[in-house]
Amino acid sequence: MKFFTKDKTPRGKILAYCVLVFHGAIALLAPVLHLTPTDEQDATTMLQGISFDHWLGTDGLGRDVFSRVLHGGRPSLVIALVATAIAAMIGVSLGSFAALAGGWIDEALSRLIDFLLAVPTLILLLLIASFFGQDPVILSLTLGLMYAPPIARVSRASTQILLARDFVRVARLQGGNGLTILVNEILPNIWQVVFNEIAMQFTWIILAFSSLSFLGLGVTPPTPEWGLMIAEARSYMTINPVSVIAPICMLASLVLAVQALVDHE
Amino acid sequence: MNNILSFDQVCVEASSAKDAEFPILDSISLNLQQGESLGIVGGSGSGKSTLLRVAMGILARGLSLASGTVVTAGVDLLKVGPEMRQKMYGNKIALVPQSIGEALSPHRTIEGHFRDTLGSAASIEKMVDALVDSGLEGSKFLHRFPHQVSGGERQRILIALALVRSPELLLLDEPTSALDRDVAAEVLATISRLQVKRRFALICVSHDFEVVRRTCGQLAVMNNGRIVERGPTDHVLTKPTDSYTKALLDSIPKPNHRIRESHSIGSHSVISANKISVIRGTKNRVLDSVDFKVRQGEVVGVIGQSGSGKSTLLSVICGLVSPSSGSICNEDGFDLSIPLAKRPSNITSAIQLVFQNPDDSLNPKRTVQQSLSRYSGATVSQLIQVLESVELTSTFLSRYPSEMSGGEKQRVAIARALLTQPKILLLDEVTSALDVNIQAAVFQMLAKVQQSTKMAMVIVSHDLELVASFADRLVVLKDGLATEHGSAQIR
Repeated sequence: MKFFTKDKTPRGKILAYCVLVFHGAIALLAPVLHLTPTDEQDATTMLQGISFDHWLGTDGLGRDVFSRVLHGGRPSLVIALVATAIAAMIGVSLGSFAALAGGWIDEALSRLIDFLLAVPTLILLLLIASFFGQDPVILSLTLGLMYAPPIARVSRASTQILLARDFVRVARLQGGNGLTILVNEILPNIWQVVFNEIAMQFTWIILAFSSLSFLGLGVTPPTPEWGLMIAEARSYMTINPVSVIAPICMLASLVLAVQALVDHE
Repeated sequence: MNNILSFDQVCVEASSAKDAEFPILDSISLNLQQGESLGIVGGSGSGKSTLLRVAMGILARGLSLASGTVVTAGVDLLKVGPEMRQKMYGNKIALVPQSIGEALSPHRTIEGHFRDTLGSAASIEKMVDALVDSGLEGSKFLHRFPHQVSGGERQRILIALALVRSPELLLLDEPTSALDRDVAAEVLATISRLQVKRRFALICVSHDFEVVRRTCGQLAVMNNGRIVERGPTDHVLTKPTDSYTKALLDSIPKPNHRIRESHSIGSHSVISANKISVIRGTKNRVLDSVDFKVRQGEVVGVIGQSGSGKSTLLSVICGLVSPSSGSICNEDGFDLSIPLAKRPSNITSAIQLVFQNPDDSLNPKRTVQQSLSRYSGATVSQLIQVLESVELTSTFLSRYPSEMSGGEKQRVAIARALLTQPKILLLDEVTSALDVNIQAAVFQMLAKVQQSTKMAMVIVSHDLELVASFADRLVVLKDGLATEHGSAQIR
């Protein structure tokens, strides 16, 4: 039916962009907005509902939920961006190298990818976090490694398709070696597909990191983080539901916006 | 009066101003009655495929009907909704698409395809009848999958599928472009036999006058969206009045007419292959003990049907495929059976291959300049020089493949091969994706290049006349065997 649709940006795409810009803006601007400090406790104003002083009420320690929600995306975003970059580097190079090399190298790398996919991510993360503590560098590295296999698979498959194209054969006939062919002929043509996969993995990494925080192994309190906030507010959810709903909405809107954009590509 | 299809002053334009150099269809008027057949010939971009689509009520994205009316089997298909159109398809109008490789679902048997088309009216008897009508042993094919039938059989199955519900109008889009000569002739004979017998109206779009001559009583020549000449086929072919028609007819290769004159041929071989065989799988011999020699400055034509091993022979020479047995070496005795990656760069660059499909042989994300200079490291002035040798200008340097026509892309692909100054140039069906008049121009250009560089060429094609008019010597491949060597001049 595509013959009959007019060329215009779908509304969902515009909305998704707006949500992403909103998230980016608050993550960048939260520290300069002169909000109530996120760790300022006040025993007299515990578990209050929505008010003019506290737009989203207060949590069990009397801290301002609004301020904490705005700051709460920063650790997830930073870790997720770093981890995604690592996953992309590992995934794309591993996948395309496997396809280019072929033969037993391809076979061995593919089995390695299968093995990594079979490891339960959250359990491994829990193990790593309990061994090495909540070190953001190690967490990013682990997340990056664990979320590289799907990217590697997509890169490998798309590279294999391109290897059968004539312009890649011509490059070989003209004396191009593996690396130059990869950089010049293959990457520009697989990038769109691979980038979508990377964006998808970005959302999974955010969710994984928030899950870790929820379990108490992501960030250290009192740092505000959505997963941790949900965990903390869980016990008094019936008294101030906003303190749970607000971080959930933020997390969900970020993940949905990225996925919607990927869908519209 | 039984008007099946009528176009009245139809103009179709591109909606974006950028593409609107000329209308895609410009004041097209035509009438087609029951039992009539109209062939439409024109170069690529002449609007002939758009005309077919419009007849089916489909306007591709970015196109709009500026004026005029189209009535197909009594219905203005461009105005009715998709459900109505769907009802008409198969029943009143049927199309046999160009890419016969993709027209059948690979996971469905031929019987399944008939059931999809016929719906509740399906019966084995009907299916067998339809297949027999198109010249196939019906019952043999029903349980086969599309990959289990040959190209010619596939085309016949598609025709049977199109005709099984007795449509009033049959549209054929390049019915034989994917078929070998002999098979194509048989398919065309079947089409005209069916047309006489069943008296449906027929439109056949092709770039090949021969296809139209064999199937259609009327002929229309299209150029830049307009019908420039129309009349009874024999009349147009023998007494063309329009200059474009004349140019098209002139560019058809004729027997005993040489595009290229032979020059001095050296005595030593640049390639000598001895009993090379290529075996795919366990015992499928793609090439079977082929002896093959190319001397310096010689143009060797390799002809054969599809599947005869022509392309494999080229792949062996340039190193993309290693021979299973036999020996192949260059003029200095360098063993060319070792894989490409292990060859020194001067050996690799001395043998260049130009592929059949220019859409596939240029990186879509790279400009011409990037594609040309990437591996050769040529300077801009060298690039301009080589572009001029293939009759392109320096303005092409900044273009992407999507901004060029098929012929231009193929010239760029040839220019890229020339940049490494090869001693031997392998050409794999380089013009089969191009229009006839552009084919002739590309070959004339190649003749000039060959004359000035004195390089050896191996040219593979299924078009005997074209190769015979160009090559010094012919090699015929059949089922992997080199069966005939002869001088091209004899033919």
